Amino acid sequence: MTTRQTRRPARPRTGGSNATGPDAWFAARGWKPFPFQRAVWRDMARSRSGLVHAPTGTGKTLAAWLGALGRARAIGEARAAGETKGLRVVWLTPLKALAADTVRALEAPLADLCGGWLPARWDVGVRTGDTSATDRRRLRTSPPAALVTTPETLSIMLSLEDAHEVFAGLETIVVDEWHELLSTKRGVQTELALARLRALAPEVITWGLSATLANLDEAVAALVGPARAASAHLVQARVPRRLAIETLIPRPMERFPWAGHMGMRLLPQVIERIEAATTSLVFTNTRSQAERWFEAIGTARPDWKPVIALHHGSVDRDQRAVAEEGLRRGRLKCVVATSSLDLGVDFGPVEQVFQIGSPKGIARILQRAGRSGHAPGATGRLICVPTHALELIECAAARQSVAAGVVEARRPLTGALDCLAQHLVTVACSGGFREHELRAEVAGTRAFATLDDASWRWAIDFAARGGPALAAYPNFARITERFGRWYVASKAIARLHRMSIGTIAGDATVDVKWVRGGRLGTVEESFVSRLKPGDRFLFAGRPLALFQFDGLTAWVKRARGTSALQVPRWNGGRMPLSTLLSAAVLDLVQSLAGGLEPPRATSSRRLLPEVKAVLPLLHTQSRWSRLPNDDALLIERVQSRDGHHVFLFPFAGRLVHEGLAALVAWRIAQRKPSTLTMAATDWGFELAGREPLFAHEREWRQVLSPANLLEDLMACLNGTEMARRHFREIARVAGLVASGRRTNRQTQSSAGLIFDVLTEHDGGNMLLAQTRREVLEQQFEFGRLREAVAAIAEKDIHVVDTPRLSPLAFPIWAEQVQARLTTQGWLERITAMAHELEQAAEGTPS
Amino acid sequence: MSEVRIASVPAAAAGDEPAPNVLLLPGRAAFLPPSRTLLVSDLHLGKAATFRRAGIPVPEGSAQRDLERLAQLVREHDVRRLVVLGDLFHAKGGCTPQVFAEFAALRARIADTEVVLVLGNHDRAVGRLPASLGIDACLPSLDEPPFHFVHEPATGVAGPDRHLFTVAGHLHPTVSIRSPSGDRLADRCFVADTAVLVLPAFGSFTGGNRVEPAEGMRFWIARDDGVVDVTRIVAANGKKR
Repeated sequence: MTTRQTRRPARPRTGGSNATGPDAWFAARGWKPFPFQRAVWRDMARSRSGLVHAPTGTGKTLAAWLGALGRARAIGEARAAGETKGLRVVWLTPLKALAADTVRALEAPLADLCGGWLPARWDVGVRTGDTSATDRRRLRTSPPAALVTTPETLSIMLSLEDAHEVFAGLETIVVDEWHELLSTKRGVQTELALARLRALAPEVITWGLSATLANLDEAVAALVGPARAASAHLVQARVPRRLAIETLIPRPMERFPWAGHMGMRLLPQVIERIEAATTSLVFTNTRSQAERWFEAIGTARPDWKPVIALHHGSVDRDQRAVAEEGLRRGRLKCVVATSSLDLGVDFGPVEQVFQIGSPKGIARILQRAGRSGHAPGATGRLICVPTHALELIECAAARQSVAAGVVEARRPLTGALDCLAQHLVTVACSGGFREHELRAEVAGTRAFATLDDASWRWAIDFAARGGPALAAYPNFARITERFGRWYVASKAIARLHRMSIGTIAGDATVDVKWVRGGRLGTVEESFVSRLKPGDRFLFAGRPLALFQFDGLTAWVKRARGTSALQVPRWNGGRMPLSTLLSAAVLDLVQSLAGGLEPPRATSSRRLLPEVKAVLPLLHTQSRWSRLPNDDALLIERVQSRDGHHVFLFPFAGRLVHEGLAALVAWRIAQRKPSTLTMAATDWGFELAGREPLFAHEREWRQVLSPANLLEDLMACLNGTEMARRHFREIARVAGLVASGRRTNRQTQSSAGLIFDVLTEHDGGNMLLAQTRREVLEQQFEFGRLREAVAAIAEKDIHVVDTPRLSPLAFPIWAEQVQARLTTQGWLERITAMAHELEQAAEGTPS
Repeated sequence: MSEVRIASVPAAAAGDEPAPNVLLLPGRAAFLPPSRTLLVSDLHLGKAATFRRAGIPVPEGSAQRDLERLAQLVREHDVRRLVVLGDLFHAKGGCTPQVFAEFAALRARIADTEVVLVLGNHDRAVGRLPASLGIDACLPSLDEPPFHFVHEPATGVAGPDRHLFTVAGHLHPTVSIRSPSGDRLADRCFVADTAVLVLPAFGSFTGGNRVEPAEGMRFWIARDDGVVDVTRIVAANGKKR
């Protein structure tokens, strides 16, 4: 990561070995180290571990890297020459796409520091999933002094037989962008790997680099382990970063469509702003949105085509590299990107950043705003571009929250038995383990600090016998015990295990290639399999026509014209509005409830511009229904051609709404066998079915009751596909589903099928229990859900029948069905479906 | 004995047979009354064992249940001959002595029934089957006018013999149906046109492949406890698309 330090006249320094050290290196560039950088160097020289917390682009990399070098220098002085060969620093990066840039950033100061201040020669290597077999071999025969790698690849290295020798001389581990890993399974995997490294190299120190978080203490505990957390140092950078955040407001003459959907109406204003700036980054929330906006900008300004680029995770690596290089050199006017550009190297010339659609979270817009304005003294600029009227309110709430200086927490996960099961096999592959030793090591992590004996026993049994039910798993063993040590059962198992290490659950993807040669990227198989040869779609910023799909590759040709193109939908881009931001949104809406009527111009004088723009829509809402407020829960009922809909608006965030929808649907279906569909947004949720739902407050109160909450939620999980869907990731991590292209066809299976087999034949399987627990805690945010239900119990309930979908209901309806719950038999359902279709057919004049 | 249960699905054609003298049974099997022949396909016995051998913990139990269901069907319909339309076994690595023993036990229970295996791609990879299994004949395909029994249905209309009606497996067909109010259901199915009938996979631990509906195709959702014609629903869904 390049850094821009405040320019000060270089002060000549004399004396001490530091004359050729970091201070001199900074001075030679006209920079001066920040106090937080010095603090990190000091701590590292004293063998302390810690976490650096500073905004993007303030020099975290140099703080940790020069600190690691300083520590290496001190250790080198104390040792005889030749004793310090081998790997000394491991630098973990969350994305393999960042590895090459990180290597460059680490190599930058070496030329000046090596030979003088640093006696030894230093080289920086890189190993990721993309590294070739030849390079891997070279890394093993002559390891570099510092290695940049990812959590997955580190786990693979820990599973190799020579892990003990490779890591024995390790002095420092740096975990870059720790906040990114923190609340994920990859974070748990990292915690386990760090514990392993500390066991292999007891002298090693651990440093994390993190952006702003509300729960820095937990971040430290997860990084170094709870026992060492007290002695670890939390270094906060007090480096001012100026940020300016604004929202593009639709021009007054353009009235909102009644439903509030604006799509690309703000495109002309976005283009004006891009025109006026040197370089802009346009961030979207999904890859589909990025494709659409890239296409729209290119169509509006054909003259920009050579200077705009598209960057998202499914676009081919080469095309992404071209975009990054263009940004770095200031050759591009604009890059449309998804979170693929959230992290990593700062692109100096970026002057402003657009956020298309909901900002989703406060930390997120801080991160994105931080991608701009890196020239000395410059201001980071973020421009919110709402695509829906209600997003105006979200933008306003986000701006207020940033101004108030609040930010979200990222909670580290605990008790992920799938990760533990994977780790046991990893360690067994590399020379084996004694149970009590590994147990103690694992218990040293925050993720497994409270692991009980039964769960540990189960994880061992799971790896050794498939599960505790001996008879159910004949001829199975991934690890076996010999003379008190557990080893991997066979070389073949070790090979398969290394191939499947990783915790990111990906959907099945296929390559997109030109018929005449050349790769464009990947799309999800489910999208391509619906296309017929000749069908046209937008991908990698180009209109394409499918020529042939052979199961592994979608062969495409260029399509003429850009009208009526389909856009692939990738799963997984659906991030919920953060808790903090949801609360801010409700606050804002509530503050309007009083001031809305009568709609006088004077009353809106002091409103935020976003809110002022959305007032007409809120008037419609209050005319057709009412505005939500904190004292009452609003429930709207409406009938459409497709059936009966009910919308509830608890304002508790999308995850809680998904949980509430499942709960309420289950309770309704318990009273009368029925099939209900559900959809949720950050503002509320919808239930729909063939028959009208309750009209009376009393009935709603019963199905929203806090009584038997946990029991009912657990029961309703079985009636929905949610647990089955969530199981996918757990199955992959625990090694239940073989992953990767190279796997044997005979062992290919869907996680859903395994879920069914386990449910039927090994109902006590702890991975099923973990799935249910994770769905409750992560998918539904159980704690917050319980609070929401308790709050509703105290409120009034207003049931309103609306003539059509209200402005607040429309976006939920437009979300489309996300889940369904049924208490009917399959035959009954088919009968009802046939009946419905008959009626629909009769109703349609043809 | 109304094997093809049309249930109370309105407007579904009655007297439902994909071809003369072929009955679709609950439990994902077909029956030919004149010869008292039971047809099943794609059991994939030993699949769970194959997984365990590769270090993937899949519990035992699904194969025994499938064999039990098969024995019941044979008994219930007084079956004279059982024809397996391929992929009886999953893989060589999964054919443990236990898997073979379980099949041999089933064979002993239906001793009066002839057992014919039309070889599937997986069976070929398994290689020679031990005589102890009691399979009376292993054939690449079987022609019994008007039927042609084979594992893989020929693609397109150009079958080996256009005058014969092909009955096959291999595809593990599934179909997905939905209603205007948002209900959606995807399940294994029989699928047929005027020349071919494809059976659903009989084995419970087997995946499925969604069949893209085309003009003239008929679909029956096939469950352990019933079989229902959903051709009209599939067609209505197709129109709305």
